[in-house]
Amino acid sequence: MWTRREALKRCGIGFGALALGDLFAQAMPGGSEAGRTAQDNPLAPKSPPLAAKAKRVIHIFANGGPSHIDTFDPKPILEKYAGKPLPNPNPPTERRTGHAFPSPFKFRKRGQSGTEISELFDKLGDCADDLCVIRSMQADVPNHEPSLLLMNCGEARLIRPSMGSWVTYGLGSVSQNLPGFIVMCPGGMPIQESQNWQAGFLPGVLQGTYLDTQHQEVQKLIEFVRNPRTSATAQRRQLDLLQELNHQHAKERANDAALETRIQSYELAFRMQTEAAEVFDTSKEPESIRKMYGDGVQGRQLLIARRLLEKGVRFVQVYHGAGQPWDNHDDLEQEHRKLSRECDAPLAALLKDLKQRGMLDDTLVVWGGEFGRTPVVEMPTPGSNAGKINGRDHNHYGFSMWLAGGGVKGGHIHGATDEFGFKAAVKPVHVHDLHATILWLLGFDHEKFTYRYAGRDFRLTDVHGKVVKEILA
Amino acid sequence: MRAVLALLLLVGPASALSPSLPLSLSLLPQETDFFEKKIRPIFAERCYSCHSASAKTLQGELRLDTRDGVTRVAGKIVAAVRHEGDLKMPPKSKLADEQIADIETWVKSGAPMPPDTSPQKKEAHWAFAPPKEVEVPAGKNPVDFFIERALAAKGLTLAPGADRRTLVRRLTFDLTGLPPAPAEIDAFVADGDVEKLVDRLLASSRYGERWGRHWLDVARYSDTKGYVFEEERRFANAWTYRDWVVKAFNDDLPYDQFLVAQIAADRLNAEPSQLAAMGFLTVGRRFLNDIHDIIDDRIDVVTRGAMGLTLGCARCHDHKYDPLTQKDYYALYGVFAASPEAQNPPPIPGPQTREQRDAFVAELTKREEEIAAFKKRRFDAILKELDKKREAYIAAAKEKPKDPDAFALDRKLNPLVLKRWIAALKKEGDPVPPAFELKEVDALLSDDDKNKLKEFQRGIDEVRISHPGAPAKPMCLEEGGVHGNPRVFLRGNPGRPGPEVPRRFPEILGGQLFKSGSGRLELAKAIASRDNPLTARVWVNRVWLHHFGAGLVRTPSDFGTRSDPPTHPELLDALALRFMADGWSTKKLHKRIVLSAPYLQSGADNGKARAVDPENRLLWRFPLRRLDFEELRDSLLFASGRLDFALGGKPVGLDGNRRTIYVTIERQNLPALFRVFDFASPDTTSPQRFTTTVPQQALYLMNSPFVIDAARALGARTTDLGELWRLTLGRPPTEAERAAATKYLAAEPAGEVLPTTWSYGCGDFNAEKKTVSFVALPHFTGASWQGGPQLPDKSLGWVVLGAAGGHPGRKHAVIRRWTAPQDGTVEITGTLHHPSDKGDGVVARIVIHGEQIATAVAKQKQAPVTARAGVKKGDTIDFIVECGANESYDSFEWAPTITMGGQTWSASTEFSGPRPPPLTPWEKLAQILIMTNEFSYVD
Repeated sequence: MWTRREALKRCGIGFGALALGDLFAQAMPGGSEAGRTAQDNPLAPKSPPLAAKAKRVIHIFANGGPSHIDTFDPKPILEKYAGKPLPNPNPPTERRTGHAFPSPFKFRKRGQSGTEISELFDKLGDCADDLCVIRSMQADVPNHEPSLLLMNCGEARLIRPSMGSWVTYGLGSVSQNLPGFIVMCPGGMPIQESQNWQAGFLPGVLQGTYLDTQHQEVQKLIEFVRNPRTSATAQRRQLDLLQELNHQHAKERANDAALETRIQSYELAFRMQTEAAEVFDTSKEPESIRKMYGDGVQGRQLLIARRLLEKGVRFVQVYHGAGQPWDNHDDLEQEHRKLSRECDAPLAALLKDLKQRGMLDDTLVVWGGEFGRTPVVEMPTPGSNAGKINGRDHNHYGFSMWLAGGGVKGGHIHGATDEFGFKAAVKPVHVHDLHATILWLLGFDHEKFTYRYAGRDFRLTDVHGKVVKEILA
Repeated sequence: MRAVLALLLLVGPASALSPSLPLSLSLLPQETDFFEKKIRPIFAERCYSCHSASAKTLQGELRLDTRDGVTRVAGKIVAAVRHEGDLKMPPKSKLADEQIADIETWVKSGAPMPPDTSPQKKEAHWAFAPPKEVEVPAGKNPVDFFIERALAAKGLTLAPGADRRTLVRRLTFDLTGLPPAPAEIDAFVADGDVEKLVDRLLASSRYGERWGRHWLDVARYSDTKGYVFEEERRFANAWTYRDWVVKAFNDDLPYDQFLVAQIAADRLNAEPSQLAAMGFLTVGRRFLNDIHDIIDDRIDVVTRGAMGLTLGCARCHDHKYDPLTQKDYYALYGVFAASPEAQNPPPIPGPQTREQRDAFVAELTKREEEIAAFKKRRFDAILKELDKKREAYIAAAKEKPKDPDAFALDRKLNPLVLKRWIAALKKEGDPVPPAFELKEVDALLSDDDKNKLKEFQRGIDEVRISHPGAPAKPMCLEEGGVHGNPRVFLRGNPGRPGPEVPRRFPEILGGQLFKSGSGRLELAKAIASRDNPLTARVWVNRVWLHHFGAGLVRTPSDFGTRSDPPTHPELLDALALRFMADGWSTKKLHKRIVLSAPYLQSGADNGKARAVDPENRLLWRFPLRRLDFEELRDSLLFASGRLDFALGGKPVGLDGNRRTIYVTIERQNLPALFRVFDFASPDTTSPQRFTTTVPQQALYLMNSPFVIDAARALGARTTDLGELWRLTLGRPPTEAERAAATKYLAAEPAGEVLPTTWSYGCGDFNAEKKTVSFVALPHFTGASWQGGPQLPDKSLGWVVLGAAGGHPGRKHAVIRRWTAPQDGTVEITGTLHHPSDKGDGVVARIVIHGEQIATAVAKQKQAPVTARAGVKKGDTIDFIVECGANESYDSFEWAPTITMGGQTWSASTEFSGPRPPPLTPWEKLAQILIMTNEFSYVD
């Protein structure tokens, strides 16, 4: 028998009863204070209420806002207006904008599907038939901070749990030796920092664990995972006596599940010390795999990401770099070229690698920024750009993202922007819709997957969101 | 649907129509959904016309729109809708088959129905009705009376009383957040006077630190603002609020005054130190200074924190469940919009000396003068530059741009200067070049200049925050800002103002208008009023929660219609009424609770009670409680004899010895340790902490330097096994424990030395014999290893080895040795540098197993040294540097980096002096005791 109180408190509103049943069956075979265990370890693996296509997610965040016009949404008509104003006034974005700015990059049809991809993602183009490109993404405002939060938490300003926390809350983590939700970013944090992976009102342990991938030491991933002074064998002897004392203590306090859980947590911790370290040991990967991902930091972090996913981590988010690297208000051509050179081959490697391992089918890969960029140039604004008039401003009206694997159609293009690429015009997909779709793929109805807090049933999608059925495989 | 059915069946037995339980339990969401989607529509369509409040004539005195009514007939309803007996309902035509099936399913699962809500009527929801007095037998503590009565109704009783040792530990932790000292345990075990003990604990300053922290959870306390773009991230003075709260608890400031001060101290002619109370409103997140979000945060902390009212839900639309409207929200919005933060609050007298204060003023003045001087310097330079650009400005001005600002930027000109030139050209005669005044300098500065100014500003912020003479200032609000009636923002959008609303209290609580200034003082008084049905109940419930681990109302910050009703409603009311009658004294409230029989009972298990009430909602035993993060860390410091009891002051680091309440709370990037131990999120008001058990908590106790240091310090306090037990667990060991510990100590090797990764020595490489002689360097200066304190050393000469490099001796090469912790392939990179422009250079070698795998010579230049090799665990790699023909000018830099298996070892960053010695068996035993469940739990 289990307790309704805990079910309510711990498991939110939207879980189907069968999932709850599963949860408690796993958590507490025949115990009396069963709900307690589910509360004790929010990371215990759980099944979603609906049939799931994806079991894990990797969200590659091209933070700063990559230009869709230059990557996945060709607009050759801009050539006609090059250097001239577009026929209609430019919609307001963060800064002043000017004349049309045709893409300096060449596009090609790729794969069987003929998906058009620019030379910036030439290698990734080899995987065109796995990509589901959404060309009609929309966010709410042309500023980084709110848009990052919207993309991550479904809310631009207020404190809400991030998507990774929601997913980990709903599904737990298969790996008990690693955090369920891991965030990587080399050299520092994206703007808005750890708010991007906040747990909000969910238990703090569901917050993303941040890892600076400039370093690669396991201590940075899990605090205190190594003891500098006591060997593993000596520590085992310590734990043996500890557990002897603990068992006696628990025996005198019959039927308190919490004590048993804590006893077990020491055993888990002991194993974690060795098993967690192995994740970073990419030397065990065959030469060919390491080559495919390359030597750069993007390749390294994607390879580690794949190893984490393989070990059962539920949600991995990978940022391109600290701050907002894709935010090219100036020198867009040169900067986008540099950025794509860093990540193009690693992205292709990730997709191929997941595929050859049979993991792509149930791993959802999501790529994109917090918004796109304008098809027109940005004009000088002191303090904000270098005034070179060769970059693009933020554009939340329309931009591209792509998904792959995890139950989405490959070689598919969904929606379209207007003729110049300014606004989503055909089948717009708001960020809330993307969230609803991701949850759907993971086996959740976004309207029912809720958490009661402060008098309200909160959802990742708040009161918005529609599942984009057309991109489901 | 299948899922819902299965669930309902599962729940069935527990929530059947037994008279008391279902009403005290809230519904599962699926149950609410099922009722609202399937059952209520049937009732509404077919039954309410005769059986509800809206019936023209109520038939059979039966209402199906209330839980009471439904409960009364639930047993008969199925037969009635099936038209099986005499009673056929609805009388004229039968329900559809699916509808009947739904009703059957619903009844079978216990006819769960959400509590009645009728926003129009105040008394409809218990929490909006005033607390009711229920008679308690004379001389009986209401806690005893109501708890025992509810137990008796189920045929249960309290557990036997707890023993003295348990009680002194329980009370000391609950009231002070610390364990009792061994002597205090002895005293209480001898004396047994509980009231005396409670009085002593309540009088201790430790009490305010413990209970103040509980309130800081509600107040979403943090020492930082949250995400900021460029401005200073830290609050300079949040700690003044924290200290005010601690003192308020220690002084037993009546709770009504406690609340009024936190909301409107500025309206009370308060001392500066009292103004700090308003940190309650101001220590919230700053949302990049978005005023609407800041006000939202303040409304939330006030309504949810003090009244359990979730008014924040009504920002965009009327509350979905509670009788709170969007107008109620904006009526309070207006109060806070008229209450800006005081820009220049009076300083709080502090412990600083006159010299410190003078030094602070001098430092600040100096920095402000630096800024002024910088601006003057730049102003003069810019004027000169403008002279040179005169032609460009005249040409641009002649084009008569429509939007001179944008035009100037596109031409890379200064907008202000261009506008002045345009004006100058409009005048008749020869244009007079525009003149500028120093006060206009900000508009003339370049981006670089502005960045430089920001740097100056950061320097000033730093002085204000960390200078020992900086005066503390309260973070208070004042009257001002936007007066006049606020307007509702449609959908919460400030760009869509809707109807005007007067500033007033929420309608459901009386709706009284606020007429004085911002209305903040009236708001505060309306909250802290005996007539407010929520305030006292909410606080009493929070206090109960921290004594028993769960509130009488299980959702401490939500007393709305969808919250659980109290497990013991009469007790909640009795406590609230007595609390107010006692002058809102929290300390008296504590005494009423902790001197009750339910609090003083033991945690003994009882199979029968467990079968009836597995969640222990009726309190048939005292619940076991896990220490929270502060208690655990403070206990570690206490047990190891290192706890610094200093009260208050600026926030401190996590590595120190102060109580945890004083550790800096960085809300934006709260350290993982806090999160792992379920610390209250400092982002919004926190109703209650989670209690999770995850392996990361175990890792902290097994491996963190903080715990290892605590174990070492604890081990040093005694050599006696019994004493070690007393210092940690507050009791002597049992015979079995003594035997197990003795056995452990006897078997544990004394001098366990962990294999080191880096070691530092000198010696020789013999290429023919393939040997390396390695002698560890004996002396560490704090920065480098060498032969002795003086150089040259008598035996080892000029041999020195540090983080970046060193110096070889004539007879002895220096050797940096790395020992492989595992098998694998190492990649070695690095550069040998001989920076001197004299001498004959140095030779570097990398040697594994006596085999040289790389070498380089550097003479007044740099040379890369790289290698790749397979190693087995325990293999050594020696990085050897020798002199050339002579040892003059042979200082070198070489700090190789090794990577293997995704891990990196850096000779420079990992460079260290003598390693801390490993724990002795005794210290390891000390660590075991602080890792035990007994140490972390309170009975």
